Amino acid sequence: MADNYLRLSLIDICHAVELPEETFVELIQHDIVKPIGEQPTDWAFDITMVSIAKRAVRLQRDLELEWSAVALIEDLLQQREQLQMENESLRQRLRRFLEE
Amino acid sequence: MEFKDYYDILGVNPQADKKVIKTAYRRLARKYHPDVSKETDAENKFKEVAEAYEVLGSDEKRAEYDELRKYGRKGQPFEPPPGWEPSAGGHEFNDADLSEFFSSIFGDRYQQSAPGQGNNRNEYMRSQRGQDVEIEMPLSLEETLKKEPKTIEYMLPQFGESGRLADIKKTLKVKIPKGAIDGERIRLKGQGGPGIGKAPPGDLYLKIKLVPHSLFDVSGYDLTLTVPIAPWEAALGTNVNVPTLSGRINLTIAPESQTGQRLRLKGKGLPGKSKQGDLYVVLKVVMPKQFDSDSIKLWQELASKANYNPRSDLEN
Repeated sequence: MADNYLRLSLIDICHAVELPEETFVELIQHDIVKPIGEQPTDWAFDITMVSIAKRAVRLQRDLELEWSAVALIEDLLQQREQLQMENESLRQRLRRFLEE
Repeated sequence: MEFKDYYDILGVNPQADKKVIKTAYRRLARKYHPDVSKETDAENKFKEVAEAYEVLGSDEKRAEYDELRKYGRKGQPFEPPPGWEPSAGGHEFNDADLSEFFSSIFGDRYQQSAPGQGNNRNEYMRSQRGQDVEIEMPLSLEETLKKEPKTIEYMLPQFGESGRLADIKKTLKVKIPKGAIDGERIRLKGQGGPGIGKAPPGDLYLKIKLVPHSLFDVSGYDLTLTVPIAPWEAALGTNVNVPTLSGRINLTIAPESQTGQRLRLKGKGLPGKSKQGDLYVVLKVVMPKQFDSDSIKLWQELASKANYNPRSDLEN
């Protein structure tokens, strides 16, 4: 049976995202990627951060953006995803109320 | 192979300068970028746009392309002229995203080959970690609670005996972590695409997609169950037997209950990472679909005696 990995070390996540550590730290400094733990020596990363970091890299490269702009887009994309989930959940509950 | 008119794809004329091409690319990239776009087929459109910019954004490649463009017309079959040598010039684009047309002009950065059989063009490419693969894993609410692993099947490209990549079906048993919720990912190390040369395979990411439940709605770790009650049950109160994920329980409905009223059953939601979610029971007062004559008499008696105007807010 395959093991589940829910958290990654800095080295592991850089490997997974295929970024050098210095670039990855820039993502943290721009608050695009949020580590668990305050000190760099304690940093661990939820695996959700892998897809966030990969998306950030694609946006930065494909749209030729500054990291600060990527950070803003990431915030807005995450808000949009959150709202879509909430919307879907409320619609589902409303359907139960309106339909027999 | 069809000829691709990169100028047409970017919506610029063949005399356009670099600035115009860059602006056109930026505009289309924003419109079709698969991470932000809601357009249909955004991913393929973006690949086309990016490929067009890869060529027209580089003086060298653009000159090569312009030369070839004399021999091709949009939408028509195309073969490079005899004696045409694909340039070995590197490109930054992911080869998997490039069209056959592009590769015929500019060559592959590397050919996907079996481990140990890589071409000699580029040492770097003879050893490259496999691609990470992300797939959606539909999961029922009941499955998030199970302790036994879930068996999943997925298609993954693997090198066959001929050295070519072909999709094969893989089966894995996955333990669903406690507190798994919609949108969360599980990483399975080394279960992604195959590495090239001696490099390790990529990882597999399973994105959890909770399947809508016939009874329960999910919000984080909390569940909502809509429970229909009769008008007289709402008026007088009653006991109802309702399902939860861990079995049925009896619930007391207080007299004078209303539609939309919520009752919280602590700890009867989904198991969270640190605490158990709650189950909210929402009452829905429903009328019977048909009345017999005795019932109608009772309603008439109630109508004549009850002093209640539900529309008082609408009257002023």
